[in-house]
Amino acid sequence: MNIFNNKLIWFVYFILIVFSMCLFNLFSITIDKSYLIQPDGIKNEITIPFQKDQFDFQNLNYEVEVNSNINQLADINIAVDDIIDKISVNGKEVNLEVVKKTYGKTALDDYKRGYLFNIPLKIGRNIIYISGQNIGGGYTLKFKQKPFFLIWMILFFTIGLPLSHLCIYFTKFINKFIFVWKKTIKLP
Amino acid sequence: MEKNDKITLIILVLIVLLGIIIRIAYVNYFGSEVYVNYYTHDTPNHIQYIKFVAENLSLPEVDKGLEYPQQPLYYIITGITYRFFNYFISSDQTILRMLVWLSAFFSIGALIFVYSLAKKITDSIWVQSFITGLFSFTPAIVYQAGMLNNDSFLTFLATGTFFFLVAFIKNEKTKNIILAIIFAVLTVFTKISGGILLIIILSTLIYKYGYKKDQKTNYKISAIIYLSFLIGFLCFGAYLYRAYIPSAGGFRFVESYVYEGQQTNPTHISYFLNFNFSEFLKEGQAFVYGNEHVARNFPTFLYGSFLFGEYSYTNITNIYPFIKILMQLIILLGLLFPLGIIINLFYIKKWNTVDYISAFGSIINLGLIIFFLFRYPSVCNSDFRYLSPMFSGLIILSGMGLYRFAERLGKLKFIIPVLCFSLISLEFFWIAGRIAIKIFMNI
Repeated sequence: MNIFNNKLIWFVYFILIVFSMCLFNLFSITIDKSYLIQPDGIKNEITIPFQKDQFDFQNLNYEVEVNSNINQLADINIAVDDIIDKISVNGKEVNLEVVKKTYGKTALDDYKRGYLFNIPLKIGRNIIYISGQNIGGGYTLKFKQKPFFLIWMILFFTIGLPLSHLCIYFTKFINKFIFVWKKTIKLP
Repeated sequence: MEKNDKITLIILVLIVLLGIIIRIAYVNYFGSEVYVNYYTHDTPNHIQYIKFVAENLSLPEVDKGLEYPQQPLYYIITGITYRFFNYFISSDQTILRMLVWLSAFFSIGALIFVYSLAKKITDSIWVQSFITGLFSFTPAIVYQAGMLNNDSFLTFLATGTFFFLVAFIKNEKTKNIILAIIFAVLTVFTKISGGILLIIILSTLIYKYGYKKDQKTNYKISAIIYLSFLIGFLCFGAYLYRAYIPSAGGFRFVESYVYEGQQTNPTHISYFLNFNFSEFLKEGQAFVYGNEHVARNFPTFLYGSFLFGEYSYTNITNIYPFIKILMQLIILLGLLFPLGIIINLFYIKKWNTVDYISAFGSIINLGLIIFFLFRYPSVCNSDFRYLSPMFSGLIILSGMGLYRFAERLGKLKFIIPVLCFSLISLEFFWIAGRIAIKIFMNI
């Protein structure tokens, strides 16, 4: 039996990949809307990643509306230029002390790459409120999810299966080539 | 066992035993000064990683520390060990000293693998002694035993992979190839350059079972190749996951810079093609911030750091000039190592599978270093220690090249073994002398 011509195997691979992608998608969050809240309470809609080059405000307040397909503890990377002071999700404050203690920081000031936070999300619409400080110059907000490790690896595993299969198929071609090559130049 | 066999076995065992004693003595007198270790400058960053794992029982984000992008296996082992001992010992320094002994243990393990490997690849006792001796006494390799970083562990795992792969080539036992794959995967999780070993394993299987008619063997080997590919993809997936920084929208695979005073010029062809041997001989060391004709020239610095690492010895040679003379002699005789590799190219028709995999792996490893140098053109990035995954392969290539050359010399063939023994003896005296200076003069 030539397993490369076996349609059932390829069909199973296909199903596995579709399944893992669905799983990946299930855990993925979408940003519906995001706002910069001015000191007077007016909300200005912004697009993430957000960047402004002028020094308008010192106290920064952002609101991000996130949609989650499931209840989950999402790994979200948040970077605020210059410092993150507070994060709350659906009215509940996220304990930033854990992240501060982890990296031995008194202020979360990595404005370039930010920090990874475990954000508890419920099914449907979630409001994430981020407040921070702008010490000087322009200001930015970056907000992006990092895929859950296990889901990421399931995706890699299911993609790896057919890829490994194809690699084997490819090596068979090389095998034939080496066989001819060995005979031609008489290698050991 | 004949009398000659007994003598040769004694010589080999003696080399291994002296190698072990040297490592223990070195760690005892140098490894205890963890924070001010003479031969490592980035120790605090490795300690930071170990302590992070120990305190948080999790891995740090890759962009928050100089060593954090490193693969995590070594730091997981040392971090958990640190946490465990922290329950009983309050002194930070004492625990770190214990972790240095772990490096010594891995270095000794690597030495035993090299010894076993040498016995597997050749019957010639002097080649076995040369391969084992070079690994036993070359200062830069001995230093790994006293360092608090993943180099020693990487060398141990890579040499283990090589040993089991060669064992598989010799006896075709499935157990050996599975062990080789396990060691290779552990190497990948210690340093990503260990991925070369997975590529070598796959290439060997494809090369060796080029076109087998035997259906049973074919299925078994195909299954192993299939699994190796799959494991490779999974390792790569885990690596990508960790290196990914969402806010930056990209990956951080390494943390390196163009360090001040270390800038090189890889775009200039002479950087890769010149070999300033006379300058190096005069200098007697390849200090990273030293003579620019030595440091800022790829082949010269690679060769220099293979022998004595990237460090300065002026504080010793100023007081004891004979140490410098000894170093110069080692530099002169040490040429046997690169010459052996070059000479082997002339005997390519006599190469066996072990030669092919050694050459193939070394070329990939060297290619990676060159690629890295174009990205971060700093002297320290051309250190020989970046060839750790292929140490054993390179020494084998060199040893076999010298052996094949000696066989061509007829009555004069004794010259090569004499020179090889002289080199490893001088290296032994140098490293033993260095430890003695530390013991008696505390320099």
